[in-house]
Amino acid sequence: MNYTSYKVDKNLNRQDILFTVARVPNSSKAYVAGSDFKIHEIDFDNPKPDLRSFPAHSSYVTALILKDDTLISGAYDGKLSWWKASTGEKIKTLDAHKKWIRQAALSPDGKLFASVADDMALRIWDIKDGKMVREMTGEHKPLTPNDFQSMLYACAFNKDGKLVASADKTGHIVVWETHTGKKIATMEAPIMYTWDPSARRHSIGGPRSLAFSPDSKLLAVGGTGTIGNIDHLEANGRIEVFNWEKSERVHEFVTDKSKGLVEHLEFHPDGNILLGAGGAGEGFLAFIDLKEKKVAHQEKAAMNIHALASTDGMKSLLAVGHHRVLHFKMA
Amino acid sequence: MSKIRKNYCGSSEHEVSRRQFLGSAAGGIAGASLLAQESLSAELKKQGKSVILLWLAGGASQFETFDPKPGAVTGGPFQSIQTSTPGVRISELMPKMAARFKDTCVIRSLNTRNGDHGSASQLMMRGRKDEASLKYPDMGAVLARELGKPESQVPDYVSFYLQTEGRNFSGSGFLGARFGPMELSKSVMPENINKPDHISEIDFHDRMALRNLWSKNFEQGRVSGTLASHQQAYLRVNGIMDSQKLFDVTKEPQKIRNQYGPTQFAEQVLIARRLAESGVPFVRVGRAWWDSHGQNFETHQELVPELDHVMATLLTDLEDRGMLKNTLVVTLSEFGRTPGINSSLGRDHFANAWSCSLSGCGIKGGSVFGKTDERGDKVVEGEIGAARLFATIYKALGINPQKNYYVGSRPVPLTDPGTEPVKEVLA
Amino acid sequence: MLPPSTSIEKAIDYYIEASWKEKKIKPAVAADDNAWLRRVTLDLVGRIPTSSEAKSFLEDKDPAKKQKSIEKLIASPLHLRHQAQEIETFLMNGTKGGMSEYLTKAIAENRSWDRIFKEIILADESDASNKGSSDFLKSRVKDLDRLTNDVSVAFFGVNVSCAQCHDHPLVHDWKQDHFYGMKSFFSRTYEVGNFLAEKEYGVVKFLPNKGKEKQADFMFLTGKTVKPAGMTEPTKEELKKEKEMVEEWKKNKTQPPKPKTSTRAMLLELALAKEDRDFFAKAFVNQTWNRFYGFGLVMPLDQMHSENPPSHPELMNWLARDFADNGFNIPRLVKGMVSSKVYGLSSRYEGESTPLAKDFAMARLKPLTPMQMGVSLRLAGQFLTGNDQDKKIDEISKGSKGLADQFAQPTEDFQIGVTEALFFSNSNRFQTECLGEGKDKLVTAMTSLATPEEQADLAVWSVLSRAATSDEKSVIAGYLKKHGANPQDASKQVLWSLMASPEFRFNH
Repeated sequence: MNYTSYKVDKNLNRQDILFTVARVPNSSKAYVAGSDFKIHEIDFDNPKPDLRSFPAHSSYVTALILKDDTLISGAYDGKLSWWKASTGEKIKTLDAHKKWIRQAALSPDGKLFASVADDMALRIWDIKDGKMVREMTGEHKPLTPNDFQSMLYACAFNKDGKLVASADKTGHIVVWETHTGKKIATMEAPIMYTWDPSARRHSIGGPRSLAFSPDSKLLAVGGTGTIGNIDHLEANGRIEVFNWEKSERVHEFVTDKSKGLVEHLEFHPDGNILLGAGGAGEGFLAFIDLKEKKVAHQEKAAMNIHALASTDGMKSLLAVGHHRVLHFKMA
Repeated sequence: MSKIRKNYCGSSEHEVSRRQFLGSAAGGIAGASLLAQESLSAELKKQGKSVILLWLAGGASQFETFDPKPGAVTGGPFQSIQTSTPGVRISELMPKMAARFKDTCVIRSLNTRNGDHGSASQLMMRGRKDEASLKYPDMGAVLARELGKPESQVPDYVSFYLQTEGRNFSGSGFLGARFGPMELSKSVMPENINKPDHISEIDFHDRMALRNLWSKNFEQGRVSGTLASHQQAYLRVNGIMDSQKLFDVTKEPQKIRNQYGPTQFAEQVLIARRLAESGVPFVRVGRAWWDSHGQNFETHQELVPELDHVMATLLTDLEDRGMLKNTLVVTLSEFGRTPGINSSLGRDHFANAWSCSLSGCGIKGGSVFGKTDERGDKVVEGEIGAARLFATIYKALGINPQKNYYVGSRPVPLTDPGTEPVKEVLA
Repeated sequence: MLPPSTSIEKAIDYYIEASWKEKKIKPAVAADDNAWLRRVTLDLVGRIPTSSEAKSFLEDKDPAKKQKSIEKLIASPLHLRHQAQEIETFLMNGTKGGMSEYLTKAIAENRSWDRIFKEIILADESDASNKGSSDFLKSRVKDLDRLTNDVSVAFFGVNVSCAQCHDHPLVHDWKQDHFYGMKSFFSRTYEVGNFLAEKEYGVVKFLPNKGKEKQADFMFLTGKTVKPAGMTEPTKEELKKEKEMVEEWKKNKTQPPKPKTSTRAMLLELALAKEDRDFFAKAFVNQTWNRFYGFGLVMPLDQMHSENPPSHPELMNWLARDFADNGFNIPRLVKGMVSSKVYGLSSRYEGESTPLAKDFAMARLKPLTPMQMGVSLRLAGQFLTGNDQDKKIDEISKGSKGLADQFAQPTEDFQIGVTEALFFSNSNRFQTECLGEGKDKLVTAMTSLATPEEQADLAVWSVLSRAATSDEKSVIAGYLKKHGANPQDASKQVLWSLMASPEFRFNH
């Protein structure tokens, strides 16, 4: 793939801060949501006005799952809501978590999705009937070693959906068996979490994104590096890649041209390229060549990227974030 | 021409009042000059009062604590919750304070205009800006002077600040070292408070007696405020050393320690309560560092629940011990945080419309003073600055905010001339 | 007024004694030889005398021994260091900076006070001998209001800060015009990287508390004004060009060129003009007087104005004239001040009604400065023998900064806090630095002596620089006997009690 050939062909300013995006297949449409508590349907080829906007939650909306005409949203209010995508009609709402829902992931067969939240639970839901089919708890501790509330930031399925991974603020990562709820491996990425015991006495960071390689052998974890002054996201973006079966870290990559958190991770279908996206003051895309074992290319973005959705073997990247939507198109 | 102005000329006729000040400061003729200015009942009213200042260094966000704006574009992700006072809502991060709001007054209308950590910290610790040639005492030093007793066997100004960021903005200014803080910056146990091992109790006592004999001989035919303060300092040594146990949190029942919780801040606040209980008039617990330029919401998710729990536990504990009517708990930062959310999901420095809270002694509990607009951009009701906040705090403790100190022959009131306390905040 | 040919000390004694007579004040007796030597040694070289210095002074029968001591002390290198430190403290106290590099050199070369003033205000370091002279301005240039006031306080004894916001309430001398007038001289000064620069133009505008905004004159405290070039605002073009230049200087780290007219130089001309140099001369005289006599002829030190006259106006005038006429010679003034009889009075008053500080009828207690404390405490714990005592004292003095930092800088109405008493009582540092054992250590020397009386005598000589009274001797000997089980510890406790005594804490 030609990762140096991306061009930004759409650059849309927005009033809101967007945390999540779900694309409508084979179109220039997408659902986005974030700081105004609403879900917006947009067409990035014809950006203004939004096709539709509807109030969805009572706090920041952080997760959108789209399967056919079913749209599911999750938010910091702990709720999951089911919507009929074509009409915006609400089907139901669940009190899914006791605290902020941070991320959700759709299983590859499209039947299930996973959600993680600061109640430190990973829950698997049936898309159709909204039933919780499984719950993984107890492994991510509610408190950090310093007695502050921890957070469960990220989750991801592997390609056949048999595995699901979760990562918490302290850098504790767990791989679970989807259908049994059994923990089958744990890993640690402590560098991504900075606890400052003396100067400021709180913490920053934590892994924010997860992705399995297409062959399911590797698990990539995205976050940031050790931070000196935790008032700011001043460390470079950081990606660690694990051979999860051995709980062994096999690579670490640093976005040396950009600072901030890696909030989105995605393997190219060929398994050789790993895309990380994120930012702080400004945003970035980082392409990692796993054969060369290096950050092969870095692209600045005009905003801190909080979420990204790709189609067509990464030929189209729709990034959303701080007051902006960007579409990157591969030549 | 007013008396204040007349005094500020350096003429010798004012030397008497200045001497009185020195004398009482040094403990020689305690209180003489105070009584000249204040009624005896006002004096009595101050007795046994203490202040615990929870200093949220770096600038806590008003949006995520006492002045939430849920749903506003500036509001962030948190909801507000109902407090025990109908109609008053605070951030959902503070459920425990919401439940026991009855002793607390939240002030939502601070406009202090200074968004620089250093000078804003100085401002919010002193109630005013230093002059080029006049260093004002901070709240702790003033209260040590006003509420402490010259012969006191406990420290009268204790300051915990174990984090390293944002330290060193306190100070006793023109009141001098006698009213300066006992600074705890390395551990919760004060420096040099324990008798060293190389000397026995008896020898320690004997050598002090020997010293006091030399002191007595030397004092004959010599009068000086500084000399008196030197002797006073040594007379206080044993008492201060005895107060060592107050700093030892293991002396507190495990049940109470569990109530406060395991964090460093909780432990210090518990020690602060022990100190107040033993008559220490002012304790500051510095809780750094709230300066959330990046990841404001994550930072406040960590720090606000800790504040909520510890503050609510403290107030309940003080109430249970019958101390709350004599103890004022102040939560204060150097400034608040911007309505705007930056691209690192942070909030920056903001001093134009922010909040603090006062609880307990002399305060109208369960109330809110002042108001900001829908987005929290500006104060729309009851705007006050540092001076009126300080006047209110002093008044709540029964101290006249316009009482004068003398620097040389210049009278310097506790708060800037003409500053009125906020009546609505006072019980 | 006494003729200029009078010596400084005679003039001091003449005017002060006259005021006693007028007020019917009976002064204290003269301090005894040991008290006098301790006082002058602390004042001139910043440390207590050693026991051998104290003893030999006492034994010296030369009627001119005091004068000889003063001369010897002033000639010693320790005096230069101490003098530079004292001036540094009063110039730089309250800032984070220091200027010892420059002052050490300036004092060592016996530069006059007006020259030091010029070098500090011109801040021209292109001449290597002035290196560090810009530190005064640099540490304040970010806050021009403060710079204005600090210059006025340090060099003219005048605090104009309240005139910043309003005409001084009662002191008719100081109007807002004065504050902003003084500020004007510094308003063109700014920082470029690590250098100071001065613009060719610029004026100060201010909003008087009555009336419309006005432009300040370049006005000295006397009300005299000057009109430098560049009283108009620069054009946009010029500003742009200037900005580019500044960037260039910053990038290349070069010293920006001097302006054609320096308004700071104009201030110097006004302030040092023969008819107007009174402010300058009197401020230093008052500062120096306060240092040696513990209380200024004008108090507070920064309130030298017509409505706060000196306690002894004629003396002030005489001293200021003498100082100016003799080329602002610092050692000359210092020597004269410590040579007077008034300086040598006892700090103890046996009479009925204690005189006021401003009567100077007894010596005032002066709390030791941090450096005086640090050096003296460390020195007191030593028992120096042999020929290289000066070298050892020098080493002790140089290593005393850490201990000195434990103490607060005395201010007017200084109060000593319990922290200091706890430091003495319980810190390891005090125990190690002041009460150590071994070669040249007092504890060891003491315990090697045969009788408790001899030990008592040595302890008092070493710590308090005088002989023990018979009462003291028996109290200490009794203590040493009672605690005889461990002689080292007993000696340390005795020495501790003397070091923690007010007699040690003060220059008395």
